[in-house]
Amino acid sequence: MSRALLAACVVAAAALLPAMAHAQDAPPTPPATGPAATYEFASGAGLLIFHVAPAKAADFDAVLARLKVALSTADSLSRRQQAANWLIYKSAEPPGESVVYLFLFDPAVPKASYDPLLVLAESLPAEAQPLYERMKAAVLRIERMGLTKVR
Amino acid sequence: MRLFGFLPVVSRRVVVALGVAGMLFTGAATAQAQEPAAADPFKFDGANPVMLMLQVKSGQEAVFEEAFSAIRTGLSAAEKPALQAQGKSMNLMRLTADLPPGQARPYVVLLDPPVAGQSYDFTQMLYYSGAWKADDVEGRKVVDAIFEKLKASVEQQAIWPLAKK
Repeated sequence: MSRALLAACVVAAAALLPAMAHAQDAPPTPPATGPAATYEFASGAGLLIFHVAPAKAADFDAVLARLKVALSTADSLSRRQQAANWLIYKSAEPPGESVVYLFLFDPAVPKASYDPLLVLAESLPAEAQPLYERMKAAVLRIERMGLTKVR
Repeated sequence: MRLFGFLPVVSRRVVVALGVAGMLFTGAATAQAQEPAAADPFKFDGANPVMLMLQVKSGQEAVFEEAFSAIRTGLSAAEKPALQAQGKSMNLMRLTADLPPGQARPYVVLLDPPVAGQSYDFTQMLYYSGAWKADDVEGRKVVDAIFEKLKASVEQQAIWPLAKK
Protein backbone atom coordinates (compact mmCIF):
# COMPACT_ATOMS: atom_id res chain seq x y z
CA MET A 1 0.00 0.00 0.00
CA SER A 2 1.42 3.38 -0.91
CA ARG A 3 2.27 5.82 1.81
CA ALA A 4 -0.33 8.33 0.61
CA LEU A 5 -3.05 5.71 0.45
CA LEU A 6 -2.21 4.41 3.89
CA ALA A 7 -2.29 7.92 5.28
CA ALA A 8 -5.67 8.47 3.66
CA CYS A 9 -6.97 5.21 5.15
CA VAL A 10 -5.73 6.09 8.59
CA VAL A 11 -7.26 9.53 8.42
CA ALA A 12 -10.54 8.17 7.09
CA ALA A 13 -10.67 5.52 9.77
CA ALA A 14 -9.76 8.02 12.41
CA ALA A 15 -12.66 10.19 11.40
CA LEU A 16 -14.87 7.59 13.06
CA LEU A 17 -13.09 7.96 16.37
CA PRO A 18 -14.92 10.89 17.91
CA ALA A 19 -18.30 9.38 17.15
CA MET A 20 -17.27 6.08 18.69
CA ALA A 21 -15.69 7.75 21.68
CA HIS A 22 -18.73 9.94 22.05
CA ALA A 23 -20.98 6.91 22.17
CA GLN A 24 -19.02 5.60 25.16
CA ASP A 25 -18.87 8.97 26.89
CA ALA A 26 -21.56 9.98 29.34
CA PRO A 27 -21.63 13.78 28.90
CA PRO A 28 -22.96 14.79 25.49
CA THR A 29 -20.96 17.31 23.53
CA PRO A 30 -22.88 20.29 22.20
CA PRO A 31 -23.10 20.38 18.41
CA ALA A 32 -20.25 22.20 16.79
CA THR A 33 -21.01 25.61 15.36
CA GLY A 34 -19.22 27.23 12.46
CA PRO A 35 -16.69 25.48 10.24
CA ALA A 36 -15.42 22.02 11.19
CA ALA A 37 -12.39 22.07 13.43
CA THR A 38 -9.19 20.90 11.85
CA TYR A 39 -5.71 19.96 12.95
CA GLU A 40 -4.35 23.15 11.43
CA PHE A 41 -3.80 26.24 13.55
CA ALA A 42 -3.91 29.31 11.39
CA SER A 43 -4.13 31.50 14.49
CA GLY A 44 -0.44 30.90 15.20
CA ALA A 45 -0.69 28.57 18.19
CA GLY A 46 -2.86 25.69 19.29
CA LEU A 47 -3.68 23.19 21.95
CA LEU A 48 -5.05 19.67 21.65
CA ILE A 49 -6.39 18.08 24.81
CA PHE A 50 -6.59 14.28 24.75
CA HIS A 51 -8.79 12.59 27.32
CA VAL A 52 -7.47 9.06 27.67
CA ALA A 53 -9.06 6.09 29.45
CA PRO A 54 -6.98 5.53 32.62
CA ALA A 55 -6.68 1.80 31.92
CA LYS A 56 -5.24 2.59 28.47
CA ALA A 57 -2.80 5.33 29.46
CA ALA A 58 0.18 3.02 28.97
CA ASP A 59 -0.99 2.34 25.42
CA PHE A 60 -1.29 6.05 24.75
CA ASP A 61 2.20 6.58 26.20
CA ALA A 62 3.48 3.95 23.78
CA VAL A 63 1.86 5.76 20.85
CA LEU A 64 3.41 9.03 22.05
CA ALA A 65 6.82 7.42 22.14
CA ARG A 66 6.43 6.43 18.48
CA LEU A 67 5.06 9.86 17.62
CA LYS A 68 8.23 11.42 19.02
CA VAL A 69 10.29 9.09 16.85
CA ALA A 70 8.14 9.96 13.84
CA LEU A 71 8.60 13.66 14.45
CA SER A 72 12.33 13.43 15.04
CA THR A 73 12.94 11.36 11.91
CA ALA A 74 10.59 13.22 9.58
CA ASP A 75 12.02 14.05 6.19
CA SER A 76 10.23 17.29 5.48
CA LEU A 77 11.40 20.65 6.73
CA SER A 78 7.84 21.54 7.70
CA ARG A 79 7.54 18.48 9.97
CA ARG A 80 10.89 19.27 11.57
CA GLN A 81 9.71 22.82 12.23
CA GLN A 82 6.57 21.41 13.78
CA ALA A 83 8.58 19.01 15.92
CA ALA A 84 10.66 21.85 17.35
CA ASN A 85 7.61 23.49 18.92
CA TRP A 86 5.40 20.47 19.55
CA LEU A 87 5.24 20.28 23.34
CA ILE A 88 3.65 17.30 25.05
CA TYR A 89 2.43 17.37 28.65
CA LYS A 90 0.45 15.10 30.91
CA SER A 91 -1.80 16.37 33.66
CA ALA A 92 -0.15 15.83 37.04
CA GLU A 93 -3.51 15.72 38.77
CA PRO A 94 -4.79 12.34 39.89
CA PRO A 95 -6.81 10.87 37.00
CA GLY A 96 -10.57 10.99 37.28
CA GLU A 97 -12.63 9.62 34.45
CA SER A 98 -9.69 10.22 32.15
CA VAL A 99 -5.99 10.91 32.05
CA VAL A 100 -5.40 14.19 30.27
CA TYR A 101 -2.58 14.85 27.82
CA LEU A 102 -1.86 18.17 26.16
CA PHE A 103 -0.21 18.88 22.85
CA LEU A 104 0.78 22.54 22.68
CA PHE A 105 2.00 24.08 19.43
CA ASP A 106 3.64 27.43 20.05
CA PRO A 107 4.22 28.72 17.51
CA ALA A 108 2.26 26.52 15.12
CA VAL A 109 3.48 26.17 11.56
CA PRO A 110 0.78 27.73 9.36
CA LYS A 111 -1.12 25.33 7.10
CA ALA A 112 0.64 22.29 8.61
CA SER A 113 -1.52 19.50 9.99
CA TYR A 114 -0.93 18.52 13.60
CA ASP A 115 -2.88 15.28 13.24
CA PRO A 116 -0.70 12.77 15.10
CA LEU A 117 -2.04 9.89 13.02
CA LEU A 118 -1.05 11.62 9.83
CA VAL A 119 2.47 12.18 11.15
CA LEU A 120 2.70 8.50 12.13
CA ALA A 121 1.40 7.37 8.75
CA GLU A 122 3.94 9.51 6.92
CA SER A 123 7.00 8.56 8.94
CA LEU A 124 6.20 5.10 10.23
CA PRO A 125 3.78 3.67 7.66
CA ALA A 126 4.26 0.05 8.67
CA GLU A 127 3.24 0.85 12.25
CA ALA A 128 0.49 3.34 11.51
CA GLN A 129 -2.47 0.98 11.56
CA PRO A 130 -1.64 -0.81 14.84
CA LEU A 131 -0.79 2.54 16.45
CA TYR A 132 -4.10 3.91 15.24
CA GLU A 133 -5.90 0.92 16.78
CA ARG A 134 -4.19 1.51 20.12
CA MET A 135 -4.97 5.20 20.02
CA LYS A 136 -8.58 4.58 19.08
CA ALA A 137 -9.00 2.25 22.03
CA ALA A 138 -7.36 4.70 24.42
CA VAL A 139 -8.76 8.12 23.51
CA LEU A 140 -12.16 9.08 24.87
CA ARG A 141 -12.31 12.61 23.52
CA ILE A 142 -10.12 15.27 21.95
CA GLU A 143 -10.63 18.98 22.44
CA ARG A 144 -9.13 21.63 20.22
CA MET A 145 -8.18 25.19 21.08
CA GLY A 146 -6.96 27.51 18.36
CA LEU A 147 -4.92 30.13 20.21
CA THR A 148 -3.52 33.56 19.55
CA LYS A 149 -0.52 34.78 21.44
CA VAL A 150 -1.43 37.98 23.27
CA ARG A 151 2.10 38.83 24.30
CA MET B 1 -10.17 12.69 13.05
CA ARG B 2 -12.94 15.10 13.91
CA LEU B 3 -12.34 17.34 16.88
CA PHE B 4 -14.53 18.77 19.56
CA GLY B 5 -14.37 22.40 20.51
CA PHE B 6 -12.90 23.34 23.83
CA LEU B 7 -15.17 22.59 26.76
CA PRO B 8 -14.34 24.99 29.57
CA VAL B 9 -16.16 22.93 32.19
CA VAL B 10 -13.60 20.24 32.81
CA SER B 11 -12.19 18.89 36.00
CA ARG B 12 -9.44 21.34 36.62
CA ARG B 13 -8.67 22.84 39.99
CA VAL B 14 -10.69 26.04 40.00
CA VAL B 15 -9.46 28.79 42.24
CA VAL B 16 -11.56 31.88 42.73
CA ALA B 17 -8.50 33.84 43.61
CA LEU B 18 -9.62 37.39 43.06
CA GLY B 19 -12.65 37.24 45.32
CA VAL B 20 -10.59 35.74 48.09
CA ALA B 21 -7.75 38.07 47.33
CA GLY B 22 -9.81 41.16 48.12
CA MET B 23 -10.48 39.88 51.59
CA LEU B 24 -6.93 38.70 52.01
CA PHE B 25 -5.61 42.10 51.20
CA THR B 26 -7.83 44.07 53.55
CA GLY B 27 -7.17 41.75 56.44
CA ALA B 28 -3.66 40.77 55.60
CA ALA B 29 -1.81 42.53 58.37
CA THR B 30 -3.90 41.17 61.23
CA ALA B 31 -4.22 37.71 59.74
CA GLN B 32 -0.47 37.40 59.28
CA ALA B 33 0.19 38.52 62.83
CA GLN B 34 -2.18 35.98 64.33
CA GLU B 35 -1.75 32.79 62.38
CA PRO B 36 0.41 31.28 59.67
CA ALA B 37 -0.80 32.12 56.18
CA ALA B 38 -2.54 29.40 54.20
CA ALA B 39 -0.48 27.85 51.42
CA ASP B 40 -0.61 29.94 48.28
CA PRO B 41 -1.96 27.73 45.46
CA PHE B 42 -0.32 30.03 42.91
CA LYS B 43 3.17 29.41 44.27
CA PHE B 44 5.05 26.56 42.60
CA ASP B 45 8.33 24.76 43.15
CA GLY B 46 9.54 25.43 39.62
CA ALA B 47 10.29 21.79 38.94
CA ASN B 48 7.28 21.13 36.73
CA PRO B 49 5.28 23.12 34.20
CA VAL B 50 1.92 24.58 35.14
CA MET B 51 -0.92 25.85 33.00
CA LEU B 52 -3.17 28.59 34.31
CA MET B 53 -6.55 28.67 32.61
CA LEU B 54 -8.56 31.83 32.97
CA GLN B 55 -12.12 32.58 31.95
CA VAL B 56 -12.57 36.23 31.03
CA LYS B 57 -16.01 37.80 30.99
CA SER B 58 -17.50 38.41 27.59
CA GLY B 59 -16.73 41.94 26.39
CA GLN B 60 -13.98 42.42 28.99
CA GLU B 61 -11.18 40.85 26.99
CA ALA B 62 -9.41 44.12 26.21
CA VAL B 63 -9.65 45.21 29.85
CA PHE B 64 -8.10 41.94 30.97
CA GLU B 65 -5.34 42.04 28.38
CA GLU B 66 -4.46 45.60 29.40
CA ALA B 67 -4.18 44.55 33.04
CA PHE B 68 -2.16 41.45 32.19
CA SER B 69 0.16 43.47 30.02
CA ALA B 70 0.66 46.01 32.82
CA ILE B 71 1.54 43.21 35.25
CA ARG B 72 3.99 41.65 32.86
CA THR B 73 5.60 45.01 32.14
CA GLY B 74 5.80 45.86 35.84
CA LEU B 75 7.39 42.56 36.75
CA SER B 76 9.86 42.75 33.90
CA ALA B 77 10.89 46.25 35.01
CA ALA B 78 11.36 45.23 38.65
CA GLU B 79 14.80 45.25 40.22
CA LYS B 80 14.67 41.71 41.59
CA PRO B 81 15.82 39.15 39.02
CA ALA B 82 13.19 36.68 40.26
CA LEU B 83 10.44 39.16 39.39
CA GLN B 84 11.95 39.84 35.98
CA ALA B 85 12.05 36.10 35.34
CA GLN B 86 8.47 35.80 36.50
CA GLY B 87 7.34 38.45 34.03
CA LYS B 88 9.18 36.67 31.27
CA SER B 89 7.60 33.33 32.18
CA MET B 90 4.03 34.53 31.72
CA ASN B 91 2.98 33.90 28.13
CA LEU B 92 -0.67 34.67 27.55
CA MET B 93 -2.72 33.04 24.80
CA ARG B 94 -6.34 33.67 23.90
CA LEU B 95 -8.84 31.19 22.46
CA THR B 96 -9.59 32.37 18.94
CA ALA B 97 -12.89 30.54 18.34
CA ASP B 98 -16.16 32.41 18.02
CA LEU B 99 -18.13 31.90 21.20
CA PRO B 100 -21.85 32.15 21.87
CA PRO B 101 -22.87 35.63 23.07
CA GLY B 102 -22.15 36.16 26.74
CA GLN B 103 -19.83 33.17 27.11
CA ALA B 104 -16.57 33.79 28.94
CA ARG B 105 -13.46 33.53 26.79
CA PRO B 106 -10.74 31.08 27.88
CA TYR B 107 -7.16 32.28 28.13
CA VAL B 108 -4.13 30.12 28.77
CA VAL B 109 -0.91 31.02 30.54
CA LEU B 110 1.72 28.32 30.21
CA LEU B 111 4.41 28.50 32.87
CA ASP B 112 7.18 26.22 31.67
CA PRO B 113 8.67 26.39 34.14
CA PRO B 114 7.16 28.74 36.72
CA VAL B 115 9.66 30.72 38.78
CA ALA B 116 10.13 28.81 42.03
CA GLY B 117 8.68 30.45 45.10
CA GLN B 118 7.10 33.40 43.27
CA SER B 119 3.33 33.70 43.59
CA TYR B 120 1.35 33.97 40.36
CA ASP B 121 -1.67 35.22 42.29
CA PHE B 122 -2.58 38.61 40.84
CA THR B 123 -3.06 40.15 44.27
CA GLN B 124 0.25 38.85 45.53
CA MET B 125 2.07 40.06 42.44
CA LEU B 126 0.53 43.52 42.56
CA TYR B 127 0.50 44.29 46.26
CA TYR B 128 3.15 42.13 47.89
CA SER B 129 5.84 41.22 45.37
CA GLY B 130 7.64 44.56 45.59
CA ALA B 131 7.46 45.13 41.87
CA TRP B 132 5.15 48.09 42.49
CA LYS B 133 5.31 50.63 45.30
CA ALA B 134 1.95 49.61 46.71
CA ASP B 135 2.63 51.39 50.01
CA ASP B 136 3.18 54.73 48.26
CA VAL B 137 0.05 56.85 47.58
CA GLU B 138 0.71 57.32 43.87
CA GLY B 139 2.03 53.80 43.43
CA ARG B 140 -1.03 52.44 45.17
CA LYS B 141 -3.29 54.23 42.69
CA VAL B 142 -1.53 52.50 39.82
CA VAL B 143 -1.80 49.11 41.46
CA ASP B 144 -5.45 49.62 42.39
CA ALA B 145 -6.29 50.57 38.81
CA ILE B 146 -4.76 47.34 37.51
CA PHE B 147 -6.49 45.31 40.19
CA GLU B 148 -9.86 46.87 39.37
CA LYS B 149 -9.45 45.83 35.74
CA LEU B 150 -8.77 42.28 36.82
CA LYS B 151 -11.75 42.28 39.16
CA ALA B 152 -13.95 43.53 36.35
CA SER B 153 -12.77 40.97 33.82
CA VAL B 154 -11.66 37.69 35.38
CA GLU B 155 -14.50 35.28 35.98
CA GLN B 156 -12.57 32.21 37.00
CA GLN B 157 -9.05 30.88 37.32
CA ALA B 158 -7.87 27.30 37.34
CA ILE B 159 -4.47 25.82 38.03
CA TRP B 160 -3.40 22.83 36.00
CA PRO B 161 -0.20 21.13 37.21
CA LEU B 162 1.53 19.30 34.38
CA ALA B 163 4.36 16.88 33.77
CA LYS B 164 6.52 17.06 30.68
CA LYS B 165 6.33 14.02 28.44
